[in-house]
Amino acid sequence: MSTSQAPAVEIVDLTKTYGHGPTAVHAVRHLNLVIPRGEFVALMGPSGSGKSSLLHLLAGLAPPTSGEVSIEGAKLSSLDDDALTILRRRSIGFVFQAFQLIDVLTAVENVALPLVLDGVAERDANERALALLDRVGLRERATHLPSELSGGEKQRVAIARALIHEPVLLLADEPTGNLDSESGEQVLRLLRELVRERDHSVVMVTHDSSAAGLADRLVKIRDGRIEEEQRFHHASEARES
Amino acid sequence: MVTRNYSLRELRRRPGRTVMTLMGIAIGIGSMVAITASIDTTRNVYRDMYQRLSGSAALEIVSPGFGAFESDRVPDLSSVPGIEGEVPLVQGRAIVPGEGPPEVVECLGIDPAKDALARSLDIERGRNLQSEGEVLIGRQFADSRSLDLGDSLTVIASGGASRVEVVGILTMTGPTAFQGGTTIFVTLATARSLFTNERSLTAVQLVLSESAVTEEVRAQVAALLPEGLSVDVPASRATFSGGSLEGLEQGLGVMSMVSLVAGAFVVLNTFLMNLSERRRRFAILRAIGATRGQLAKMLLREAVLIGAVGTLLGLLCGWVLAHVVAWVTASVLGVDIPDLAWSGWVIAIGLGTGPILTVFATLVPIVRASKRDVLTDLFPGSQEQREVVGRAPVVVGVVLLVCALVLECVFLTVKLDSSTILMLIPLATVMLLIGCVLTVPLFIGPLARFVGRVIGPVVGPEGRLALRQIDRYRMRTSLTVGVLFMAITISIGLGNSILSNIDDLGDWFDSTIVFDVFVRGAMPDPGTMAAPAIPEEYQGELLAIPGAKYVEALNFTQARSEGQSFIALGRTVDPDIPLSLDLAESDETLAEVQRGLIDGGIALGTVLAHRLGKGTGDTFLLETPNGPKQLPIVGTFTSYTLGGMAAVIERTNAKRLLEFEGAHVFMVRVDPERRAETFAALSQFAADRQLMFQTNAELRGFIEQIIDGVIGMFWLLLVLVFVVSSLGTVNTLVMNVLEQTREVGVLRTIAMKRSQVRKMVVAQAVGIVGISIIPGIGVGVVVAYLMHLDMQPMTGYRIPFHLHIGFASVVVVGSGAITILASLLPARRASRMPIIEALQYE
Repeated sequence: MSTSQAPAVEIVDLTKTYGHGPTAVHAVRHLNLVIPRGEFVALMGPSGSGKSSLLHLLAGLAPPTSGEVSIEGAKLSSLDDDALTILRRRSIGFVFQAFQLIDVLTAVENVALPLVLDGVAERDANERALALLDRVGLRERATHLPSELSGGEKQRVAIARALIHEPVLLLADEPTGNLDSESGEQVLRLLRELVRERDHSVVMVTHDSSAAGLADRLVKIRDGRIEEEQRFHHASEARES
Repeated sequence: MVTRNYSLRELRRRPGRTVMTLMGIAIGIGSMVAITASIDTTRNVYRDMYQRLSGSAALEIVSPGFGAFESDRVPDLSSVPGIEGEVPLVQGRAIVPGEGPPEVVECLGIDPAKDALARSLDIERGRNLQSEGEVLIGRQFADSRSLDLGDSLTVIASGGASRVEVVGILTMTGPTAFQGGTTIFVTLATARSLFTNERSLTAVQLVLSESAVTEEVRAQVAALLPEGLSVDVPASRATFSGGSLEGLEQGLGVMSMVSLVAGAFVVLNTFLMNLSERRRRFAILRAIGATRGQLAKMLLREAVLIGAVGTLLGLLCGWVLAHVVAWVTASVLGVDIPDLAWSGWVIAIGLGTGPILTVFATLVPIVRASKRDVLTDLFPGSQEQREVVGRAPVVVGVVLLVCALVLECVFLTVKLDSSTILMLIPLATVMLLIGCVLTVPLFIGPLARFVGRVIGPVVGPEGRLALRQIDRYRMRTSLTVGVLFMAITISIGLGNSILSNIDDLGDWFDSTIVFDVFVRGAMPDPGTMAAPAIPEEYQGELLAIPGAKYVEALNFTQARSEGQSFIALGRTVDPDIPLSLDLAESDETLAEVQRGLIDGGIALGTVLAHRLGKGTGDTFLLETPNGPKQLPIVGTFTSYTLGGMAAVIERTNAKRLLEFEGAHVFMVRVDPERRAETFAALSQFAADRQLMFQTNAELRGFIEQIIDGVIGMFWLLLVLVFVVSSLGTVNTLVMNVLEQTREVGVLRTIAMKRSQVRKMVVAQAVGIVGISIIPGIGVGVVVAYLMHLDMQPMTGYRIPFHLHIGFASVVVVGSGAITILASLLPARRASRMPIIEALQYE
């Protein structure tokens, strides 16, 4: 179903409601959004506005109440659990606020994990992971456990893990939320550079307006609906340059 | 109040874990209580049996081994104060043939004029005994055989078959109710005729006045008795049953202790996991003002509550299990076990052990939990990456191992009585096992890495991830590995010991029971070897049957030597027929032993020889009705009769010394060429005389049936130990899954299919099995060898040691299968975890 002409993400009339009756919570309401390949979108909004729910729907972690999400033309509703896992494994990368590294695995093992679980030979996976760790400046820390890394380093490992399989879409849930401002800025710049180099699309949830300023487009959400959209031309120009 | 509610809600919040913890305690307590209750009951059966038959008689004058003695040997006791009456008794086993198989009855020859002093016979219909040839029977016996007043029945004993007339039917109370109502009462004269002891008695029972002190009367009577007679309480006859129970008790004792210790480790492990999971909440409680003492008190209350509920469940579980154990014990001993006696002692053991065990298992974690740093636990990220195992448990483990080894050395070098050995073997085994379990953390790292290298290529990346988790939670893994290790070790150790004994029993059977046919009144009681005697003239009649090459008569007579009860096997020893005896390792040849027996010597079972500290060449002091007699010991032999407490005496000599009448079994060798016709003739001979005809294969089948019962019970207990260990595995894996909730969420988000998550959890179980099996097999073999060595002081000889590889393989595969089966539930749970909730789990 996936075609090269299809946008990276297409959201059509997407609704997500938790619960029933008077206690029902409408996290996402009839939301429409198209994200072309290579676009960096920042999602902003107050707490409870539906940002994280939208992110979960994009990753196929939760089924929508109605509407449809397509990743490169593949409709998520038509995929079973295994197919969704394969889609996440090959087409989606995830960066979490709390890093979520596997603490019994070293940095290089964490980065190589999605490839290894996809059946790539461990030696090949490790080589690719080392190359990516080199790119994020952590080659020397490759054999360290997460507990031996700083917050910024952990998030850089998490970014490398999210990009190891060259995903179409990178989903980032407040990637600088647990970092100090300096580390946060470094992580964001790195993320920006990497996705620009590889033409990945990014959807990043953030509360930080300066972080959002690095995106191509800012989508503000309130009560599950898109309240406002804003394009940052400087970012696009920078990308073109 | 608030903290109490908090504790209760915590237990309710994790119902699965609470139930598993309770089951761990319940099975442990249950098996211990069941085994104690059933052994107690079985021992009491014999005591009650003799006490019931004796009625209100507090003492009885008997000959050594309870054989017959001349009535005029009893001195005048009128000078002894406190004796209200002397009641003569002739007691023996007899057979009552009928339409079905002949029934063995306890026949009491009484003096109707004096007997009411001792026994109260409640005559429901008819009248009391008045003259020879009359009998009183119980209502149940009468109903089962459709007998009524005026009917006659045949009674067969050593004096042959006699007809007696039913003159009274008794209600099922007192001595009549003994062994389901199979007691019959005849006059002394009738009994003497049945048992061919014309002027003899088997006991004079003494009824004492209310003010008399039994011990004082006993001492005074004993002083008056001639050599060869003794005075004792009637229940003391029960000591004969002891030998048959000891082996069984040893095995069951070990199993119940292991089950209990495994239960304790499950409780400890669960509690450790529970505390680990609740660290943050404890930190909050401490932050808002709870003192360390309050926290510890709250947790202790939880432990006591779990212990108390687990104990009650354990008593229930024990009640069910006790019936199984009692049923098997009853099959082994061939007695009817009445309703299980739940003595105060048994219930106290159960009620006391549960809470004490729980508190003991949880005390250290509770104290440690109350002392944790609040700030560290308030921030989840600051938790240790790897569980740190303290030095103290390892040191305790090493100390226990040393103690166990010292005890082993004591068993092998110091002469101890069997009751001490019976008590110490479970203790030594448990110390060895706990010692091994506590030292597991020393080896868990290398073992985990080794197992990882071995199974890594098979279990894939999910498996390797799983093995890292096992290594990460070392304390938890150690305890789970420990419980599984215990199950494997004890299964291999005890199972091997049982199988070796069965092999040895087979060898004993082959070398001792070489006869083709057995003709007897009935099978002897395996607990006391009491059996109905049949006329010894049958020996000649059997030999006259064409094709019967050789007939050996055998008597089982209770006897005593230097205070030790044993069974004297009075055997025909023909100088021209090779003796069938399984000689122990000694320098004597079978021919020398045979010659020695004919010359008036005695051959001792190895257990008896060991208990008396005697061997070939020593002198044996046999207590006889005519005083102690010295016999030369001409050899020692392996015996399974009454747990090895047996001795062989040439039959004519035995009869002269122990004054028995009749024979208990005739063992016939048949001409192989005339086998079919001889078997038919022998069978007809038995049928004509209402006797039991038994071929060698049938006797072997009978013995194997008993053995199967024992083996079945051990398997049941082994399964219970494995159930406890699998509960531990389920607990550990559930907790691992819980602690890895967020990781599972992340793995599911980035790459892992549900099936891969399942594989990861199952691989943890495989890892735990792998880590347990390596030391389990090693220590299992050592335990098997130690148990084998421990048997020597009990049996007096060394059974050849064979490692039963097939059995060990079954245990290893079985333990692996059970553990992997136990992992399926947590694996399913992990794979079905909602990803978003898992990601948000703290």
